[in-house]
Amino acid sequence: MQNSESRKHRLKLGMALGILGFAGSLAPASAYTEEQAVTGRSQYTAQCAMCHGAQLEGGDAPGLTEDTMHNFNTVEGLFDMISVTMPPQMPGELGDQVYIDIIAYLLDFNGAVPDGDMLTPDPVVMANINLMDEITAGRLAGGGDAPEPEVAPSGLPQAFTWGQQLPGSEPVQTEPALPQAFTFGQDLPTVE
Amino acid sequence: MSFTFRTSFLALAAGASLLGTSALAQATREYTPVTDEMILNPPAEDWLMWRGTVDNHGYSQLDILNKDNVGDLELAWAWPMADLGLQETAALVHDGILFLQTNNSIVQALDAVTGDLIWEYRHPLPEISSTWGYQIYQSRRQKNSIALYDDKVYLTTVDAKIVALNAVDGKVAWERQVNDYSKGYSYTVGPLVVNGKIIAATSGCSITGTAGACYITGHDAENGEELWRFNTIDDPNNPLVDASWGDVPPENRWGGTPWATGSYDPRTNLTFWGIGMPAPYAELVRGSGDGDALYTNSTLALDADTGELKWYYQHLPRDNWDLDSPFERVLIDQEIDGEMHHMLVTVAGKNGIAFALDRDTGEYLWSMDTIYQNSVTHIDDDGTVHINEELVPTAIGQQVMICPSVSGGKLWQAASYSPKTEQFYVPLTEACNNVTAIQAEFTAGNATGSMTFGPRVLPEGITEAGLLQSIGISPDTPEDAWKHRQRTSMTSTVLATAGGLVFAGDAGRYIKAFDDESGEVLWEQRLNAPVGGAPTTYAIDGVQYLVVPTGYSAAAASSASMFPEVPLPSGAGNSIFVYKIGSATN
Repeated sequence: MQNSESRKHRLKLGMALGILGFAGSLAPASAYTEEQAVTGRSQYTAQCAMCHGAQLEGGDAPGLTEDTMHNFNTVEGLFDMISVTMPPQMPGELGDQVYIDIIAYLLDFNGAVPDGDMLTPDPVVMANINLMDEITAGRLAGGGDAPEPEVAPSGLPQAFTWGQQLPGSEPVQTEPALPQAFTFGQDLPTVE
Repeated sequence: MSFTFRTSFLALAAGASLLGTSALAQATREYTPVTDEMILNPPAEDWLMWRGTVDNHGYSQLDILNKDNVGDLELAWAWPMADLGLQETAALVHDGILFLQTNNSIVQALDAVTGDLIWEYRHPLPEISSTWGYQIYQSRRQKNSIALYDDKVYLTTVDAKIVALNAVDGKVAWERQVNDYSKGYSYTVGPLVVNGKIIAATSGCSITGTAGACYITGHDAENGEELWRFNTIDDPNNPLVDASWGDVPPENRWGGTPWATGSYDPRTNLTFWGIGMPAPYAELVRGSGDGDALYTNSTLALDADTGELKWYYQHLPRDNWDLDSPFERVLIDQEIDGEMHHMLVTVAGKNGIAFALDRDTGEYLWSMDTIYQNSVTHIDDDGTVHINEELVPTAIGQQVMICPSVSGGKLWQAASYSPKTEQFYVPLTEACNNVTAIQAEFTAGNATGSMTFGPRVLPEGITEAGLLQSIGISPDTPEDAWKHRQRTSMTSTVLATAGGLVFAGDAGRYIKAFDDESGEVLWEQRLNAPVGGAPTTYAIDGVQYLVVPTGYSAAAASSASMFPEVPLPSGAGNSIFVYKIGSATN
């Protein structure tokens, strides 16, 4: 579940940064430490890279880039999946701290920026961290090892609901360049 | 039409020296073109297409290998596949050559007796952005098959082309760009070739740039010229399609991918294709209200010459959970009291429900549940399917537990029908998962599903994920013939044979031969990786061969946490193992 307060805060901050042009210096940071990301990288290389690729590009298994981050939505969503199912040769056997460190590395690689606080496998904390929000905010500050996403051609299709306020969703701030859901930007019902 | 000429070829001089004496011995190999007659009635010794025959039975008439001697199978040869990635392939065999397609659009021709490489084709692929995660993943989703016709091998590629290769040397005869790969279109299934026409089904239609269209296309087999095109999510000839999407215009529709190769009935010249789910998955985000979202999760009956839609039947309307229903449509004829019944039988979708339809009219005949599922509450006598409205997400962030999981239930692993037993053997997995609707801006090269999925878990009260279920087929009512349950999930397509055997493989790396009447396991071998793809069989000089593909299996990896005591290998191991039995007669 997404923390609407946190996301609202970030959207407002993002807008403010855009207006003030301070994105580089004041970009929001993510709730993990640099050390966690380093430890996570080591664990990722040992446990995950053989299928997901050394550069998270995928191999046998999917790449762990934007598509995956969209799919799992929050740190909690990703943790709940991988802490039970991964790696397939030892599903759920690595220990919570290893899984959370690996998530710190995935965030870091994709562009998020560490803020000095440990990321912990606390369900409430994890549910309040939206993966793509962290990555998007971090990229504003130039974070991450992943290649810059290709600038999307304008006018790509989006869901019929794109731009609409759906129950449980946040107001959309900008016109999307790509096609979006028909409901995009609508206020959809959301679980409290 | 009948071809009488033969084509000779010489092994490449340089290659011959590298390949050793067996390649030198094949320097004058001949290749008999595959005729229209062969397509409709293949020699028992060959395996000419994905499921062996155009009715998609996945059945071999060979009985050299049978219940009495299956224990004597011995390994003839093995071969590593040319690339990594998901392993879903079916090896084809004609005229002593085994044609093997692997990920990233690579085709190899091997001597079917010795396992020597004859030629290899590597398709040059365009570079795409590394941020196009789902599109890159599609390229590693190996297609189920290639196709053989005349003196050509037809390959549908990752970058949305049809390529015709000369069967004798692997050289490109022609290629045709069918769809725009930069939008996300690709191919993950091989074509059906009938009556001199290539019929190909597009994949990638849940990727952002493909909004508004997903296609089945017909082409001239001589040159690839496009003859017709059918859009599975926008049909101006049927006003019910627009109505079924509510207010959603075509440019905000995704999905409808026909990602299993179709079947063909020469009697009516109809070709039958299964269609996948709509996207975004949840109607809350899709914006289609309680509309059915045609033609997603349907069977389409198209005229093979024109692409004209003759009838459709929707197996899962108003899908809210990514429960695709595109899987193999199997054509079964049965004569009862002098009346011939022409059925289409399919476990169409992930939710595992078996359906029988009259394939001339699309009329619903019967259905039955297999694995535990809670997506459909009931089906009326007229075939109207009622979904479980209690599990339709009504708010962003709402979590519902749906059975089966996004990985099935049923998946791409195809069932097999034996005309000998009149039983239909279906590989299945018992599983559930939580799904949660989300709202996020779509990005280039990525999927538009807007749904998160939790880990696969066993349904309450069930301890065995794997199920091979045999269903007795008749026009009136299905019979629950036998069930084989096991802890590990079923990960391969099924092969039934006139020798009374049913071959199927699992996540625990076992290939097993079952008695087709009782389900008793008569033979098993533990291999290097989960058994994937399609076991196929062929015969040369009185020896029957069994091809067993193994390798990385998303079906295994995604369900492994349901049977953690059977760890999967961390290496991919994509390979084929070729077993043999019988004596060479020359």
